[in-house]
Amino acid sequence: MALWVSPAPATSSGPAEDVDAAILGEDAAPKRARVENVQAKLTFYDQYGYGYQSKAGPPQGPGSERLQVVQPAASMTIRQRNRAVSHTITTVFDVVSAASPDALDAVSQASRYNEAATLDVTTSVEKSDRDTLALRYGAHIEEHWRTGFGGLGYSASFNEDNTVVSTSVNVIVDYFDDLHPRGWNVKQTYRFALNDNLSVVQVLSPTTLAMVSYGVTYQQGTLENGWNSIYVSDAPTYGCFDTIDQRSEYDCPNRRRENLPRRRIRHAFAGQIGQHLRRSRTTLKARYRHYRDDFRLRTHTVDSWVYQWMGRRMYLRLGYRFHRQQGNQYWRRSIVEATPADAFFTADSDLARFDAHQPSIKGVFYLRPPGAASGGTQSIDLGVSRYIRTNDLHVNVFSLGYAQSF
Amino acid sequence: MRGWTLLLTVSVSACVTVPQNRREALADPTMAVVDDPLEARADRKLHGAREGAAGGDAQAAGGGCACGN
Amino acid sequence: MTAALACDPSGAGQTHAPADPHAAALAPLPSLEAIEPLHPGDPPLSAQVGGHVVVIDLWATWCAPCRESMPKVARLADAYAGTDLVVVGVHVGPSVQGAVRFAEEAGIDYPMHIDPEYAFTDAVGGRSVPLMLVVDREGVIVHRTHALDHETLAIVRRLVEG
Repeated sequence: MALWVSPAPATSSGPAEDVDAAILGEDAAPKRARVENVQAKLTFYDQYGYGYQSKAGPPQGPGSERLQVVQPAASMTIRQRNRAVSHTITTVFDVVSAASPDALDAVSQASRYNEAATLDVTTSVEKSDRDTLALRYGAHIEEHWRTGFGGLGYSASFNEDNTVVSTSVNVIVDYFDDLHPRGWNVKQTYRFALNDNLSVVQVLSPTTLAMVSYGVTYQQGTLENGWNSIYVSDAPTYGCFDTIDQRSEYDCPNRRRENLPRRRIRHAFAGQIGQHLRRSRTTLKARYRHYRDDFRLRTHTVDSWVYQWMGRRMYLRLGYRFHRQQGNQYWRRSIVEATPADAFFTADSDLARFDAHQPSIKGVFYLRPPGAASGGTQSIDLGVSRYIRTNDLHVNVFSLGYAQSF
Repeated sequence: MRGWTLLLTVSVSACVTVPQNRREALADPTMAVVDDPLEARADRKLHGAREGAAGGDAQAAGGGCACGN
Repeated sequence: MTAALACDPSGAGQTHAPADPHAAALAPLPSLEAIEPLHPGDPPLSAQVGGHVVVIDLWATWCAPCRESMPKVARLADAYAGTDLVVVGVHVGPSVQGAVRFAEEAGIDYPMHIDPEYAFTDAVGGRSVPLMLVVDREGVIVHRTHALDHETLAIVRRLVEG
């Protein structure tokens, strides 16, 4: 009787109340806060590529975007003694070897590595069986960058839990060094974002689940990232060197800092559907997302996954993601000296026109499978994917994860 | 937009009611809307930093994206 | 979010009762023909319950609140061993293999059955699990609940002692 926590009393062993309390387990240890689940993941990103915003290359660009990232992350959900309240705490660390994306490296090589840490806490309060209030708060710290965020969410279920509607409002404030392409720190600057989301999850059949969502984000402040530059095609090239290793101090007048409006409104619409096939124990999922903003950036993204159980303890997931992006109205490869200082332009390859493909494979192996009598699950997972952008960038991603629920 | 979403929700939910005791397949870990939260978070950052199209999907957009990943 | 829709496998969320959990109380126990013994060769449920006070626990392997509730059901069976009370578990749904494995791993020693096509579950108006039915000696469902509690135990005691 591995499950049972205390021996059963005989009806004649005491007053009825004591017997009932023993049956209900009320004579066991008092309720305490308990950990509901933990998850840990180590992800390694190996990126190769070139972008016109990068200074790590010939003055005419494009410069290198080579970098590697090691990203350990962990998450834990704790339920308070008051069972209606739970906290999900997530921490993420990034160690980035930044040859060019980080201006500090590109200019002075003072820092070959950039470390970042994020703490993200969501406190959920189940107001009733059907509605939950969530408070989200946290911070992100990077070498020359500080972010604070907070938000409020509400989720309600209807129709015997067949429908769950969630909405949230988030505020994000970034405070960072406004770096000049030639290396000096101009000033401290900021930007903030106000974000509102609405999503609906709907059971469509005993084996079909759908989700639709819409999110709008209003951003204001310094929207340039501080180190992206653009090539000035008719400017003199004195002080410019061909490779990052040749320069001790970067003083190349044929590169200007990118210049973007101080306001951006972003919209994203997404829909997802999942279908489980009982006979073969296969799950098919597809997701479509459309994004548009007032920089006239338009994207269409399709994700698809096939999950296949192989026995009771393991499933494989094959995925493919396609992303098509129409470049925003400010993107150009270069400008000329006569370009007005208040004109908007960027050479950031992330904002250019491109397609991206990402095949992936992941295996999840359960040490304690779902449906085990001991309750909870315990699993390790291994994933590999390759992100390929048609404008000369690709990233190999490797991940190793562990998850346990209690 | 929200009006249309709510209308769609009401329409769909009005004609579909799957009792909770029939949802074995929906309880399968592979059927979760997000089957691996840390992986989803890492993917959002990977794509958000390289595609300039972050936001939506019931997730916050903007901020905290200074690093290369 | 999905978890809430699918009887939260983590156990974080509780299942929700139908609008009126007592709707089918004081109703005669429907036919037990659709219920099969979990282990072939075991006596059918109809042969175990006649003329007894019965607690029927409808459960499923994928339902965390069911798993949390089952030790209580087992202690109830142990506490009333040798009395007129019969405690039985009925797994809801077609996953016979999973239910057999679960019962073996958990060491459940009260009679276990399965309602593979939901026929019995639907007949008693069950829409969520866990669902416990208390049946008197006349074969009438006198109480139903989604969680074994003091009220249910008092009813069981009264029926057994009465």
